[in-house]
Amino acid sequence: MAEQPLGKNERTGNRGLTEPKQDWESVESVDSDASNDDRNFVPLTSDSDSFGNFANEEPIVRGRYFIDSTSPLSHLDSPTARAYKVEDKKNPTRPLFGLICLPDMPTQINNMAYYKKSQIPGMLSIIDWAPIYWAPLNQRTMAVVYNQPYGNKIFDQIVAEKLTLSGYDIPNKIVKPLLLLLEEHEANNLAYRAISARNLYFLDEKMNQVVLGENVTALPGFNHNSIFEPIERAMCNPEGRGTGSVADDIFSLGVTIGILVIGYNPFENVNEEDQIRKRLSQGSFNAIFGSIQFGNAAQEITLTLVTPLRGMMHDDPLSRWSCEDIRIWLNGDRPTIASASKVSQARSPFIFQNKTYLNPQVLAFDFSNNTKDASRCIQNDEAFTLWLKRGLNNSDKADAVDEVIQSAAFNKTSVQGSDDYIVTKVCGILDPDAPIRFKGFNFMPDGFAGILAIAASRKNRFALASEILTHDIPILWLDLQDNEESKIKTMKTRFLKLKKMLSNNKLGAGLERVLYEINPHLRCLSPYLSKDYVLLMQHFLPALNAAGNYSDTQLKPMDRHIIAFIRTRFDFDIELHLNAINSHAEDKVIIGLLSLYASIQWRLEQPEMLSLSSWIGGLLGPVIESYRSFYTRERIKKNIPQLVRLGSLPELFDLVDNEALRLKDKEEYFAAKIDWQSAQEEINTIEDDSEEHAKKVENNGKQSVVTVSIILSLIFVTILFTLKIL
Amino acid sequence: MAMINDIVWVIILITGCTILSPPTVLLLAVGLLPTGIAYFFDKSDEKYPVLCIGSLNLCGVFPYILEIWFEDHSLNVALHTISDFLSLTLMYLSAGIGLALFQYVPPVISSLLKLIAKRRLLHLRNIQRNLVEQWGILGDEVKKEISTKVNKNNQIDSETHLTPTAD
Repeated sequence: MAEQPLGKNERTGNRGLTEPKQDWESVESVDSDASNDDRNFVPLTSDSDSFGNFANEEPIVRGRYFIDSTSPLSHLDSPTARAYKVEDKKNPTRPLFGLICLPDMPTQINNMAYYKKSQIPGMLSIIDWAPIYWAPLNQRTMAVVYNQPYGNKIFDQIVAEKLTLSGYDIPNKIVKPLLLLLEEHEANNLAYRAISARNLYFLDEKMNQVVLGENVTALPGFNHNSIFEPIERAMCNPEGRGTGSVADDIFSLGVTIGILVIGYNPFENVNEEDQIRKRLSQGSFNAIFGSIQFGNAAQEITLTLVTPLRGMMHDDPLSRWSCEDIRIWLNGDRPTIASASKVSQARSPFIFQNKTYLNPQVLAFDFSNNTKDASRCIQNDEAFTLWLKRGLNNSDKADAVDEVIQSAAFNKTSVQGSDDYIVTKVCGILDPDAPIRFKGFNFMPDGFAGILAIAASRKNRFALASEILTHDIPILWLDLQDNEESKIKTMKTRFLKLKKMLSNNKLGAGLERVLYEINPHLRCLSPYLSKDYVLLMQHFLPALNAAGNYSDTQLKPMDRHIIAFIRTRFDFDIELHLNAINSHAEDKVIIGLLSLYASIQWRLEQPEMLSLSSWIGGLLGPVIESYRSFYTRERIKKNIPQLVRLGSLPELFDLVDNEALRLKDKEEYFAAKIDWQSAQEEINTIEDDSEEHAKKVENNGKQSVVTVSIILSLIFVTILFTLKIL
Repeated sequence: MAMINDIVWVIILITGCTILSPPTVLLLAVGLLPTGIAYFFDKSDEKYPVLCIGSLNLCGVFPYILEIWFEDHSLNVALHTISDFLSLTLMYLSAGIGLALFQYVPPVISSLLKLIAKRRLLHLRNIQRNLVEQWGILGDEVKKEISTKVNKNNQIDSETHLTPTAD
């Protein structure tokens, strides 16, 4: 089959606006590592033919939209999804395309449902979505079907010099349609989080109608080049940028407008870290567009754009333009003129690693990237606190840092004394607006879910991510914030709740539970289901049933991910099942598992699960052995194959864990034990006293003989005497 | 002192009997000779052999005593009886039967009881085998339960010993 699997997508002449690294190529390599891990974790049968249950499945979304893997539409690709032509079975002439998502990337299913239902103007319309089997990946993954735009990406047109956007074109052509979309999002307390120059399309061939591309195939902001993110989110790991708000979208819109007008990325040749340093020390607008003339035409064009861009790209979200400000500007009224972004500067420099620093935010950024040196500098060099006091003229910060140093000295052996903790805390003090930065995890509090999801999907730093909660790192950060107190309080409560969840290490709790609790649309990451895409409880048993065909059935069909997934997604009380599953007795674990799966099958009214029945049936040995009676065990063993063939887990459960049968077995066993014991006691008495007993018997015999002799002689004498007398 | 007392009384009784009926005493003295010998050799407290031999020996002697008492109460008859081979044989044979009874009957009874116990053992083991066939090794289970209890007790004991007292 001449399929075009997910190969490289050539992007030439993009004028520095490359997509971030998390594209198919890079993630595929991580993904393949992860799948190797999977194989180590759950031994699968070696040949790929065993995944036969998917082989005949066609890539059709909800039985209607056929995604043609031989017709890639690379110009519609997104960094985390590949585009292919879609054929609508009911209306074949309808122009559609489908995005095949990365299997390990959490998608925004809640937004998909909302967009499908609402059909918001200013963005590509989502037609439908569903997990499908994708043969080139040999596994299930999420597919999203969109209306295909007739035009191309706007930025590609600009790069190809087929289009030039002037400052006059921007308000009506670009901003107006997008403002409608932003207002719609703001009204619903949502954020688009995918506004960028490379994600804008012409919906029509005449290049009049502009729409935004997809924003659901990855975590919010994940696909952004960091230039499109507000400074605090730009400093985050892509997966930790968080859901954000429309204020973040407005920042992205500002950058997008600027880049569309100048036609290239001003940070093209600047590495990511230097971009951040520049933005921190100069403010985002000045750093990105400060030295650029917008338009080579009249001076007024420059002036027309500078004010809105300054307003939209303000680094302080509260001073940033709102949708209302943009509307005022579009209407031609005088908009609010945003003050320049505040940049704090020290009076004297601080030297760290032979570099001079005047800006505490930049220093905090570099501290977080050089934890060991930073910790040494903070703890051993009094110059740092002196600089805070005199250079920065901020004795509050100096006192707070002093407190951290003293606490570290007092708790040298505990976490509070570790380099990572000290640096995290000091960075928070220096730059409280920056993201939480701990052991290489840089994230906003609303991006913690993404951090954990990606760490779990790629299996590289999952356990390490738990330390964020264990050591209350988000609480540290939240304590340093001085605005929106009620929001902060809610977040604190949430993180404390998650920490409590984490502290329980039983199955159905711990880090996996936290993962599924905060990522309600994450697929189950169990290695057993790695070839599937289980999002809902309805998908779970059928997927596990299919896994029974290629998994090692000597192992139990469960792991921490499965149990945590069920705990968070199954709407029924499963405490009793979990207690059994967490038991130390093997038979109780199997019974707990069977009862849980039986309960799912029964409550969700699911059809027969032949492979799963057979899989669990093969593991019932310890359960059968838990019955004392040999005859009961034999009877159960005899009946199991029949029930396995029915594929009914509730019936299988009823056979092996019948309450009346267990009670009868217990009582009869107790009676048998008593019988055996009394027989043993009698045997012991007979065997132990044998010699003594023999002597006693002999003595009794002698006594008897004497008695008999005397009686006989007396009778004999009496008879003789009587006869003589008579 | 008590023994001397007994001997004195026996001498008085024999002397009295000899004065009252010398033929009876003579006949008894000769006829119950095996009982006397048994008495002499039997060192047990119960004197079962003496009683057994003596009672049957008496049966052998008693018909001749009745003859003296009811027919001819004279020393001649007594002498004639004790010098008669048949009479003596009868008297001593009856003592021999007593001895034989005492020697051979108790072991027979003992063997019989042993046989009954053996059969009971077989029956009990059969019951146990059937129980084990249905329920598994019940003995170990019981032993385990006992040993667990013992261990627990020991543990409690050791803990009690290890716990420092207020003193």
